[in-house]
Amino acid sequence: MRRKRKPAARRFTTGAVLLSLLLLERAASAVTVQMQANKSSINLADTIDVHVAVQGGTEQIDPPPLEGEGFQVLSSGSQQSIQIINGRQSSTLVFTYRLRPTRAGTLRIPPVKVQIGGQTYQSNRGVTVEVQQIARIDDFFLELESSAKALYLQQEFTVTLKIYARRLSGSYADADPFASQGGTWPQLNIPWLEEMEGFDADPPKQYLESLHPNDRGSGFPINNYRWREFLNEYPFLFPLPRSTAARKASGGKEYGYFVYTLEKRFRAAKLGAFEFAPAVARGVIFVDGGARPQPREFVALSESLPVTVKDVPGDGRPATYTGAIGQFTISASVARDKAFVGEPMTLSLQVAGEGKLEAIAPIPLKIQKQLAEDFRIHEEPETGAIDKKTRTKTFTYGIRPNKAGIAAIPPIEFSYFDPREEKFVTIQTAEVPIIVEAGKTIGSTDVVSGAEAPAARINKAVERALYPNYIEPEALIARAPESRLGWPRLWLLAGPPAVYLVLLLVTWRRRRLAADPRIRRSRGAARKAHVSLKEAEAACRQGKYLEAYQAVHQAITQLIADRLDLPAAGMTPREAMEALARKKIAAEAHGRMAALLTACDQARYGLAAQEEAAVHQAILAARSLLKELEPCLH
Amino acid sequence: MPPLMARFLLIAAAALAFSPPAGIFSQTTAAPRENSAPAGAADDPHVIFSEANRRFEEARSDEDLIRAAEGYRRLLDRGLKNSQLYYNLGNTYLRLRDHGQAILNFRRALLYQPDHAKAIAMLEYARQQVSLAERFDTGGESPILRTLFFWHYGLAFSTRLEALILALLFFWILLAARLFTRLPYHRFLIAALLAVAIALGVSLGAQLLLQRGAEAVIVAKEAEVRSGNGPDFDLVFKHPLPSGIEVKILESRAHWHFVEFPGGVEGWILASAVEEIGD
Repeated sequence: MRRKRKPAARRFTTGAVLLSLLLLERAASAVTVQMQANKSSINLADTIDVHVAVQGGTEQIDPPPLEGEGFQVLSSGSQQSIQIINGRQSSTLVFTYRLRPTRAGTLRIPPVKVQIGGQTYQSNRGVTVEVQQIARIDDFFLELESSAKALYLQQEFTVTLKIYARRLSGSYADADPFASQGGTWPQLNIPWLEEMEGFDADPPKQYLESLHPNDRGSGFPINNYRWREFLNEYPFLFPLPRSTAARKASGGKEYGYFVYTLEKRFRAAKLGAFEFAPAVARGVIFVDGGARPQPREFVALSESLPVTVKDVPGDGRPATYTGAIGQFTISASVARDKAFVGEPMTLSLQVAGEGKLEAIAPIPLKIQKQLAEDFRIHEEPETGAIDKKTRTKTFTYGIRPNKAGIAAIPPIEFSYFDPREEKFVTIQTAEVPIIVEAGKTIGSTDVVSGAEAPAARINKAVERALYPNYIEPEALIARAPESRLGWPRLWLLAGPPAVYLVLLLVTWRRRRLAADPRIRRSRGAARKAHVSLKEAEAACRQGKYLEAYQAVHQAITQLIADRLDLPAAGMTPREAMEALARKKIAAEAHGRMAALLTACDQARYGLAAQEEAAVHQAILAARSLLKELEPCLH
Repeated sequence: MPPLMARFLLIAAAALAFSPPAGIFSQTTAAPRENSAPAGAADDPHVIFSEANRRFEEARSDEDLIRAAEGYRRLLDRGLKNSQLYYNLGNTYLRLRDHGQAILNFRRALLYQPDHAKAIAMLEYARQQVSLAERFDTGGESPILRTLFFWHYGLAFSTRLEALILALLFFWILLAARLFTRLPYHRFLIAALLAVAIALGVSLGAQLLLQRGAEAVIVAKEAEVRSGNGPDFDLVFKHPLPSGIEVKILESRAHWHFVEFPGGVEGWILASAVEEIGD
């Protein structure tokens, strides 16, 4: 929510006034004070700006007070301008006051006096403004009310602004008598809506949001609160709750009205007499006239609302009254319901209700007769803890039972001032059942001194009872502050992707190998050769020497063909030797290979020795050659 | 073999998930226990510690508590820094009603152990005593934003970081497992974990990028805040500020710090009136 800037006309007027004041300045060295208002005639709902220009003073100047009566200062500010002409510096300080008249008639503000450097300077003239009365109209009027007739300090109350708008007749009877379809409802100006001196209230933003403003539709624009969309600004519209009422007009005739209600809760924070300034409404209302409702411009002003805040009566204050004003309840609880004599117990008193909790001081327990007899009260809180959600205030005490057999914490009295009834009310907690046993030896530090504890001794039981210090030796181990990231976390962040990358590469390689038949054949060559040799051994053992030679031949040629990607079927010894020659196998191995293959080849035609020893010898030679060839054939 | 590999990865993930977080994420550097100093028992850290604890426990006056605080400070000055000692010191200052020092030391305790529950609770309590909310309109994001990005506003930096690490760990494990096998909802799980990791990563990155200034606490009983770095400048706040208000130091000049207050107000404050949390 923000206030709208001054309208262009007002800015122009203000600028013109400032310019005229500057033009009236005399020599820079002399101090001159000029006073001027931006209007000479207004009505009670209007405001005027009074400018006081101090030219030539170099010291800090406090805003001069405006004398006279019949007005209220709504806001004030200052603006300084410095000019340097031909090396000579001059400054002009302009104070601006926005005033609202509080009565009709001639408003006279005498010449203003300014204190500079111990000297008093007076403006050449004062300000005179004619204030016109606003005639009340029956079609639209405002009423300002308070919920409490007599106000006491810290008492909460509601100020209600009721906006009466006369209902139209006929088919328009249920329609709001204001412009619709993009038109504007009357503008409200409520001076105390954001803050009111002497009173506390919800933060303005929170309060205004509770009124559910909208940017489109219908509702009253209030105090020029606006929202911005790109380069345009639009007023917030407040759809105030509507009811109906009948009121007698000035002519004695009764009319029906729509009543729009705006409420705000305040809490009296200061003693004295105050006045809620009148609310102003201006705009257009539709009234009955002819076939269609006719628009009528109006300005309406409520009465002001005087309020006097009194202090709580001094007479008849109970001893257990600690500043509570409102309506409250109280309850008591203990942290543990069993204790030995002399053992500390934590007692909590919870005060809840309507009223300012901050103003309630701790309830003195020592004046609670029964409690003081049964317990030593050794720790009383200096303040209480407020829970804003539940609107409760909790006071925590340290007490120690004096004797065994105490069955309950007795009722504790608490008094508050009820502003509605205008009297003090005393209430008490319910008994809290406890068990107190004898039998525990009490150490010297457990005994509560009979003397009054020093003020510093009254430490908060909360910290001591609930959150003791560390006493374990582990508290003497130095540690490093916990790093936001740290190496372990870095490893955990960087390690998994690295591992994944490695796995990805491994699986990629495996799949690539598995997909290539040449590689697959080459990798299986040695295994197949050894299988063939085993078959040769088996055949040899069975006396099938020819098959054994064939298996040996196959083992060798299969290995060479698979490794060198040659056709295995029908490979002759010569082809095999040529292939080996291209791989530059050692001459000695080459020779042995040639002999072995020749022997196998001859066996097929019955030329080789068909006996076990020779076959076995050939298998051994083949095995030895396979070992030598395997690493070379790639 | 591939199913075996996948099984191994899943078992490793489960083991990591159910192992205690401290084991994975906390980093401590064990310092050697100090033995008796040559000067005698009075310099023994254990004696100093016991004496400070005794004074705290049996305090009959502020003087006792001041002595207890001095004891804890001596230990910290010796380099025996950890969350427990800072917590003890903060507690002691709280009983002395020195909320500035209390908040400072609870914050320092949390530097060493961000999840120190007692320090968090006491820090909150000490802050309530300062009633910060009543002094500054801290504003804050809208409830909608806070609900939508609950992890950003509701979780501590370290918690989000640990969640990010766990999410990424499971993400990589599931991605690796996909090289060997397909599990039910495999792609959905991978996508979900990636989304979680992105959300947490953006949250952490935004916090690191938007962070500015060194965190500090006002420790002077009353501190004036001015519009410039000198006593002649105008006051930013009408009244001096009490101790315990947490600020960010944006700039330092001779004897003055330019600080940012909760809610965004900025001003100059005497350097002696504030202490940085990072010691």
